[in-house]
Amino acid sequence: MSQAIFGERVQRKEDVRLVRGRGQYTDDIQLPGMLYAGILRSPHAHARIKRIDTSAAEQMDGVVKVYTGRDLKGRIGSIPTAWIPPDSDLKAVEHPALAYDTVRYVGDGVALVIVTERALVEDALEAIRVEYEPLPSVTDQMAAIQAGAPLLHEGAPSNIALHWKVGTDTEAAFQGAPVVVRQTFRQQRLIPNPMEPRATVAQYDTVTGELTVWATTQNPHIHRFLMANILGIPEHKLRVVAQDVGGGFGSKIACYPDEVLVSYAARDLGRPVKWTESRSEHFLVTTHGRDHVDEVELAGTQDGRILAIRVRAYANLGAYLSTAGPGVPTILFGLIVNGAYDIPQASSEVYGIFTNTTPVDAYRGAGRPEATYLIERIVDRYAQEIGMDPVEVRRRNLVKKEQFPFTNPFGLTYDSGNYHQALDLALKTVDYEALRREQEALRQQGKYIGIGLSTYVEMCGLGPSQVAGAVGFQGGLWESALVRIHPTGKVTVFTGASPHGQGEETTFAQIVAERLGVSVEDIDVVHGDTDRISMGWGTYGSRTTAVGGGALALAVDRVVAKAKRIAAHMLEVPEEAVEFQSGRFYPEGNRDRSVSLQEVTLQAYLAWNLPAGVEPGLEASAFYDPTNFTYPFGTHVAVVSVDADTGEVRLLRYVAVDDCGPVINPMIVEGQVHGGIAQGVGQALYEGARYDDDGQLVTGSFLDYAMPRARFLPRLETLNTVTPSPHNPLGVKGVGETGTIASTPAVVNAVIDALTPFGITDLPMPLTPPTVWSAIHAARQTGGAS
Amino acid sequence: MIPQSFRYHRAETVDEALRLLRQEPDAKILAGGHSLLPLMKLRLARPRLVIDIGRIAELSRVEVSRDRVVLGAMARYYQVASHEALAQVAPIMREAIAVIADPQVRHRGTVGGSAVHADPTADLAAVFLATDAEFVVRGSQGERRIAAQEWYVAPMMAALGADEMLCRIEWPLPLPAQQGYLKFPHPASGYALAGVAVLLSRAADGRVDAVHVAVTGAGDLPFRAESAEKALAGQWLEPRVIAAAAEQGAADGQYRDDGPYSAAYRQNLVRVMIQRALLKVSESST
Repeated sequence: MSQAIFGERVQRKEDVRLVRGRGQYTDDIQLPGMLYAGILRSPHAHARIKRIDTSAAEQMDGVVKVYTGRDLKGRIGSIPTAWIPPDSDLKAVEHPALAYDTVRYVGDGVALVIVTERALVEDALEAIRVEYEPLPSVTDQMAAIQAGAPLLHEGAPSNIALHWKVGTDTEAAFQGAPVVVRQTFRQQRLIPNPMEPRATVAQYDTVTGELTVWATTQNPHIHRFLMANILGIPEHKLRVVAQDVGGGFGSKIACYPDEVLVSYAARDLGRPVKWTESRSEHFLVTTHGRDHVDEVELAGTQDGRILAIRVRAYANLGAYLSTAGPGVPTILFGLIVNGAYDIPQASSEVYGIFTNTTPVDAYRGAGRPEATYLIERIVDRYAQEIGMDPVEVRRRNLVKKEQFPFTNPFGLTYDSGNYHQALDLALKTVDYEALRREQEALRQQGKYIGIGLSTYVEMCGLGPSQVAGAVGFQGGLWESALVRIHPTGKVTVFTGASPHGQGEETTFAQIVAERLGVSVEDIDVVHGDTDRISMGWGTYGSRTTAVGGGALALAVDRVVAKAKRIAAHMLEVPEEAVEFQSGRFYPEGNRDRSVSLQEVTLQAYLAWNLPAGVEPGLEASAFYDPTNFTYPFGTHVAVVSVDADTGEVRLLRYVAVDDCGPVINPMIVEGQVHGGIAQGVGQALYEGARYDDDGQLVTGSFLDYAMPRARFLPRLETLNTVTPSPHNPLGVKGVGETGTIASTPAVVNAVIDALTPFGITDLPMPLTPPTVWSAIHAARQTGGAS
Repeated sequence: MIPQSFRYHRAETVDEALRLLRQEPDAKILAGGHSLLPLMKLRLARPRLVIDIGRIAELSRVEVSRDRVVLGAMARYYQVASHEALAQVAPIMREAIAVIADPQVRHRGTVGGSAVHADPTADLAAVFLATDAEFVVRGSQGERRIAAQEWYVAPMMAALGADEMLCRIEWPLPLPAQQGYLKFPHPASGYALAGVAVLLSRAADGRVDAVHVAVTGAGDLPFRAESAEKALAGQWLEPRVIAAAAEQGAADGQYRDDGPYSAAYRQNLVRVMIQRALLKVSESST
């Protein structure tokens, strides 16, 4: 086997089953005697529950059980958050699995029905009568903190869930600054929509007391950890399995009331129970993302030197604190608002606010898209203010190659980078100067194109456990790997990461194949089962390859080290004199004699003649805790046209230069970048959750909520520069979120650039046709470009 | 989601379907199922009886004779769009159907289903209005014909009695030869935010002889932009004339604010789309 596996476009191993419809998703699981669950959800944004009449439902054929919040109070613990940012005075309010007294958003669960057939679920739910006393509600975070606003939780005055400040003293820099730019950005609420909605199947073994939960989760071990506490089940009696999971984008990190309820019912009834979310339900209750109002100030000089940035963010957290909810708008946002720029002074202040809306948690990028959006937008505003090309402003302020490792004003250490190289490559690829000339020529004809940049950096590869502790994440962030070579030489890899679409069954096999000289087909990657993998922290925050892959590299190296001892014994040479290459062990400098890894493995298991002190068997595990995050970076350029008559924005070109270190599989990296860009474009131009005055979600289906479609996108031009991370064994950086993080501001900057002749300097996302048209129309009324 | 339970009956003839319709007031006719079934799954429609007319052969015909086009109510979009003789006399059908939803929908959905569902954003609504289509419905009193202008009585409501069913859609030939449909899709649903159908014929000197302009999507109901037609009658199609006609035609619609799409935006969009559709059609070959 050649060693050129790392870096090759190896076809995805998982696709053999997935594209043939042979995946095994949670909803595919059928168990004998299985019951079906449905959850009755509040139609009110805020109300007291006066009375629930379940008698009609209970009398229906096929209804096994109906539970209300009162039935479960004291039997199921509060659904906790797992992120408590330090010094934030976080109000860890109660979140009952079923509301027993007050409902706080449309979709809040009030009753659970268990029926014998899937077709009966909706009928049983409709038969439950709930009497509500509606209360005033509030969905907007700025309204929620006003005096007299309806209060959601007794323990959270003014609906403030947390208040957190970090950074340096920026006051002096602003006092003396020649230029100060101020802008408030609203980063609208998004609704993540993986292909597969959520589902849970739970089965309780009444003999052993073991509960098995199949769930659509990105992190089965975190689910086990949390659910053991919520349900009062010993952790060693609880097994959580994530089989094939059809995407998550952060929305399958959280431990939801739903899987807890299903698990409780399975144990209570002694029968397996399945619950599958409908798409309508998904829109309503699966965690949403973003929803910030950011007040941003930038201080700078007339000649393009940024002196300070100051951010005050108002983050809508929804009705309850979701699992990672409080960490997203604080740690993952506030620490990196200076972006890729060397800005001497910077500070972030964040208010996390309760409202009568669906809880908000991580959504692809989680905090970093919000940070990147505001810095990339305000840098463009600043460039406009001082009359300088946005490229030049970036060039003057980007962290320089020789400054790495670079410590930002919040104490993060950017590991490695060459930002100017990525910028230059992107500009050359689009031919920036020619585009500017074309833009000018078209403007003369009354046509408007715009060019937008995003020179981003992000922190991912979560992360060092010590840092996790310091920032209040209630868990570790190391990762585990176990590499087992079977007696015949085939390999099984067990990872604590939990890929759900990212392709690590392939890329992890590539890492192992390269290091062991075994073919990719002979390596299986096992993930997502707490009974098969002792511990792990899952897949999110672009951590799987940087951290899980790091653990894997270490485990493989340990296996090779042991095999080397056995090989030395077999070759009758000292261990130091054994070389390992492409799956064979050789005496140093002698290619005439060798033993293969397979021969060594067989001997390791036969154990007829092992060197003294060497145990039989050939496997090794590693628990790898990184010393830092990884900081992928790059430059994205969007070119758009704006139809001034309809307000329609079209993407004409999109160039993405990303640097995620060495690329294991270019095809998979491209796929990640393509999908990421599409989602970021979605926020810029199309997507946005809206609630009406009564707190009803009015974008509750694909009829009203615009997901980005293939026809909205041009052919994406993706390129890479390669700057390895110095601190993980593979040198790799995460790439799962970069597209989303970079593309939103690139597109919005391009649209605003196109609208310069109209004097338009900012517009609220999404930049829909009516939003753009109204701004142009208003500008024309007051004498802007005709 | 799963619909409320219902009875299913496959009708073999139109008369059988009509008899069932009379017997069961809470019955719904099932054609392609691409409007009815989603509504049932969301429990917004709860018929007790579903009458499947999919196997009634006479409802699936597509006929083009010298002076008439006849589309059976069960004719599926793809069947209509791939009909060569129809494409000769009414190319606008193929053009409009090409932008309806996706291939799956176009292989199941029917022209009659679209008409009866009477969604005011349906693409074919503009085409039916522009071609002066006639809807032939049958009930206990026999057949009657309803002109397209009378068909769309309210959003999601066609001029069809509870005991009647649509059997076919017809229009007289020849139609004005230059035809086109231009659509601005809603970014989420893909339905028309504004769709404009134009039929045009010109006299030997190039002046407008006949012009039909119909609009779907933007207004409360699909409508004929009669003011635009009047403004264009007998004129040469110069940009200034087209712009003025579009402005007047857009004013024929009734618009209201709906979410991010204000009435003002909708009317402007109709103006722009009428203008562009007229330009496009006037530049097309006959």
